[in-house]
Amino acid sequence: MPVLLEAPPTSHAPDDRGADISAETQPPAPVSAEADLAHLTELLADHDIDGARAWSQELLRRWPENTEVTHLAYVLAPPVARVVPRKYPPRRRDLEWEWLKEHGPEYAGLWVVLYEDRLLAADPDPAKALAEARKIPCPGPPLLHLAGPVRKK
Amino acid sequence: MIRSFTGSMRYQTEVYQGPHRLLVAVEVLIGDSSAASTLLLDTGSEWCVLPEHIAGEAGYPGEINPRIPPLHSRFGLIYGRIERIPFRFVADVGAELVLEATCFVSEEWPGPPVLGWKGCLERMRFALDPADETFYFAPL
Repeated sequence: MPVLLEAPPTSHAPDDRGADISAETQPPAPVSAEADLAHLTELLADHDIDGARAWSQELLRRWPENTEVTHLAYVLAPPVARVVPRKYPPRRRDLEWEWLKEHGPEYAGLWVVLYEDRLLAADPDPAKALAEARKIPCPGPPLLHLAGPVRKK
Repeated sequence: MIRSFTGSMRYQTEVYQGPHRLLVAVEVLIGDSSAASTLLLDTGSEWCVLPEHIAGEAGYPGEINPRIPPLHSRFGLIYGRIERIPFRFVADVGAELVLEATCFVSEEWPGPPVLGWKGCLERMRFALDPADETFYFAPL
């Protein structure tokens, strides 16, 4: 299911911002945070994510007090994956998937919360299903899933 | 060439989430959610994509950000916002892996949650072994 970004309508002509900094040219001179953020939108719409990341860091330098700038720079920054201490006992979810194979169609369209082969809750509203499931203690996180037909192997 | 991994979990193939058929699906604990969610593993998706209810449950409620261009998907144009949300890969074997994924979040998204490339898969080492349907992962 490829997901692509499409350019939004903008009154901001691409040429008057100059080239983006990913092209290894000089960044556009600071004009206003609004204009600089518009350029960030253009980079995202052009699928230039690396350029948007670099530009957001430049914006952070230019407009460190701007909360929109700080938020976008934060969310766009490349993450670092890290190994963490185990929070839950190791367990495969075979029982949950067996349950879904067998009973999923009966609950099609409902959000089900499962732990092993136990149905903890089922509701059209996932928030309500989870609230109901939280009342039942489990040694690890249950599985939230929108039930539907499951392929029989 | 032998690459090491720090954790692994079984992935699911051709399962349905509601009406959506997920060719390859993995389970991820998202943010502060009390339950794991099933995500479509899609290296062709630019971003991770989350429906609003999952982001809200994970502790990241919000509204459409007009600064963010809409997604163009098979469901049409989807407006939303971008958030950075911790994803925890709970291992069947080995250690757990946490990564703060950049996610496109939208109330308009009618599809399944998606584990996409930018801001997520591009930043971790992973492999799929169809022989035993295992998803291997490690930090870069």
